[in-house]
Amino acid sequence: MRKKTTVADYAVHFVLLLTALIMILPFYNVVIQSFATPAAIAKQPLYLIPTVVDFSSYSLVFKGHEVWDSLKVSLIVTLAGTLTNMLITVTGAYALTKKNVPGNKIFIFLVIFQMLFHGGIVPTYLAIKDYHMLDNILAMILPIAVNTYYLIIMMSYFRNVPEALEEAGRIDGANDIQILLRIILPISVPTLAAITLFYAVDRWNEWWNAMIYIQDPAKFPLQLFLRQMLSDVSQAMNSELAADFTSSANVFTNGVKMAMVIISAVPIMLVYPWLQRYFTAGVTLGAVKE
Amino acid sequence: MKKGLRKITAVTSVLAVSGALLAGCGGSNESSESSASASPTVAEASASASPAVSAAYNVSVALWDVGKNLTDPATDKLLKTVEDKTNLTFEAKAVTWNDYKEKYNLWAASGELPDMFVTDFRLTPTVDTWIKQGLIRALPDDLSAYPNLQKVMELEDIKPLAIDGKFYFVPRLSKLKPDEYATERGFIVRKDWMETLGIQTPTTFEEYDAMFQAFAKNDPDKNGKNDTIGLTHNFNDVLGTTLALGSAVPNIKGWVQESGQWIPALASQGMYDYLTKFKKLYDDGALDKDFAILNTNDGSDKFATGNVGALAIQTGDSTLKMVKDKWDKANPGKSFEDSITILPVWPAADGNTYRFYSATAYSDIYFSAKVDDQKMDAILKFLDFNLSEEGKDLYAYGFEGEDYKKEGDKIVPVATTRVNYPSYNFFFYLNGIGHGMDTAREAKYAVNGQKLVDMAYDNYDWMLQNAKPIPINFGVEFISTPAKNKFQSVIATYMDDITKIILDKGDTQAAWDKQIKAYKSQGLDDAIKEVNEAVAQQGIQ
Repeated sequence: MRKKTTVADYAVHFVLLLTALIMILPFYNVVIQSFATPAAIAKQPLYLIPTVVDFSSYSLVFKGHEVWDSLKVSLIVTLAGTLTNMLITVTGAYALTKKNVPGNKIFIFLVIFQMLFHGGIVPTYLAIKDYHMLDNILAMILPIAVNTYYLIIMMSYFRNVPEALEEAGRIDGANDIQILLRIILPISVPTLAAITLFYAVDRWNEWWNAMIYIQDPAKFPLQLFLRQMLSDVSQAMNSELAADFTSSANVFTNGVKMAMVIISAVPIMLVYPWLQRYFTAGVTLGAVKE
Repeated sequence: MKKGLRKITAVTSVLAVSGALLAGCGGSNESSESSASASPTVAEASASASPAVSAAYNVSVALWDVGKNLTDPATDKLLKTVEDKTNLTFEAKAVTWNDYKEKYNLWAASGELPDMFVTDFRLTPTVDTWIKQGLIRALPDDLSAYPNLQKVMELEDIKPLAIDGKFYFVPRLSKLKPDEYATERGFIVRKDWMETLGIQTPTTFEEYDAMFQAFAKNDPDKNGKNDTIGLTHNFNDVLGTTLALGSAVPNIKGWVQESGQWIPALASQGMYDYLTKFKKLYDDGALDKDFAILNTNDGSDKFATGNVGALAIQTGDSTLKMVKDKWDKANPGKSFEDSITILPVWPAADGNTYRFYSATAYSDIYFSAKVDDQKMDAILKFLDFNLSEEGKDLYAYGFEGEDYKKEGDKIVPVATTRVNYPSYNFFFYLNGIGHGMDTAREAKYAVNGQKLVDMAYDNYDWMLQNAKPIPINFGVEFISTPAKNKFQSVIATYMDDITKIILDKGDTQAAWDKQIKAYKSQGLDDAIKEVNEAVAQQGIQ
């Protein structure tokens, strides 16, 4: 029997549509600004109706070598970083769920402890310096090799895998690594996909570590380059500083800034459809079931 | 057999992981700059005043965009010439405009400040801390070996910044003298709109207000649409200080004397006049309704599209050129030079026309404490060279024969850009500013166009003859006490406080009184007390 559509349904749909519109509007604004000329943008108080289609912002961005360098760095960091992340998180989570590992409780305590307390920027910087990772792409991969929240999510998932499966594997003579690879991982694909996506987005959005540790502009990731492009001398600064900042060709037109935003967002957005079907499953991962 | 192999694999993996973990530990800190231990490879530098070639040193430098601007001497003649002359090689420690504060604090905390670095931390607790912790070093007491530098350190707006008789910085000059700030405030106005609407050159505040209103309301571009703006601005602080020139607080960001006591101008009675005028411009529709939310450079973008009547902006020839470039893109075929004129701010209530006047520097060059005396000597010789006639000529004009010719006494540019070396921006952010407004006009024609340069220089000459510099007592401005410095950072956001009152509909005077009360709770009285004590103590006139 088909449910009758009531007024409430219309109301709910209307509100949701309105909310969606409000959220999409800024993004829509960014997209059409990236295809507009400064003159067209200045003519409307809020540029909502595209009057021109102009590719000069994009050609300006792609003409410079910085965007290609930073795109390359971002790709390397995302791929290598996500791989490192998943390797360590999966193996670590699996090992920590095994009760017969000596010192298991101590390790779990340490993991949770460092979630709550952080050493601070300066000691971390000194530590990275001692590891000779300054001005090195590894500084964007190794210091953040594990996100403990994702580790705990994986741990809670592995704990829910029935023991019978592992025992069956052991009876057949498999060792721990083989059990992990051949039995546990294949049934954890949704979790793995979701965590991989989380890590990939985190690595793609990486800019803080780069800002602190990277000197050489050729090693900047895309997001740091974008941040520099979008940086506006703050209202509180004095005008001499603003004038110097302006004259040093650090100021880009709105069109170029928006083009850069699109370039930074599109690659990771393209990854979403492939992993999206796992995403809804991943959203409930936060619920810890014992 | 298999079990043995597994054991070996397990043990090897454990050893590999432990080895990787321990690889980072131990070992001494590898110094990324070879600063502290560099020893002179040539005999000691002589103490004579001439820039004798001293020992070779590698100097690490951090300043804005140094990563981009410190190029390779093999391809950049300017850099090579200066490096050869001073026997220094420069190494970049990259900072940019949006991370320099964090980076300097981080480097200070981890003991790796560069040999020489530029920042705008004047009169901030940060520098006080660095001095206390011995992270930055002072200049030698005797600067006679660096005559040009010595002259700068004795300028009336530099001398008060000494701490216990020692200078812990070299100013990074934005101008060679405070008078040159005259071109930093003014209005670029649409002369063609004035002619269309039959408006005479305004001479009083009321006439300026009427003119801006006419720009906004009387359709000066005759397109039948009500889409024009009267007055807008290129940067918030520029608008605030421009309007101040025509008010009872021309030195709005500084300190004034009232009833025998020194107080911040923001706390003085003159603020009522300022706010009244500001509010009138906004309420009358003369001022851009969006003035509070514009970003840097939005104003010049708007002006360039042709629907703004007046722009509050710097009026030097390079700024005019910047606006002209935007104008040409948006209005091809329409002459920028013929459409505009530069106007000063209206006379203040006391009848004087004021021109902008300020300290010659807002940022300074600091030196790491790790720099020894010989290296410091070499660095100071380099900075002295930048201020010598030879250095100023080099940065202002370039190389004779390549960038310019000398016809008798006149400089005639040869190339289309005055100094077309990327490293010019590196030296500019130290103290290589060339001749400033003393640069002959003709030398700039090729860069910024004759009409614009003449407009800017004529305006400058007029200002120096007909306008008074805003009254600033540098001795008082640069008093450094904890309460004053703390309060200075409170009023750094003065434009936000003023904007709120302008946009509100209530009584301006009452609203400002409330704001003063807020300032009092943020340390206004302590700052006033400390400043007046220091004035009495130091015998400042």
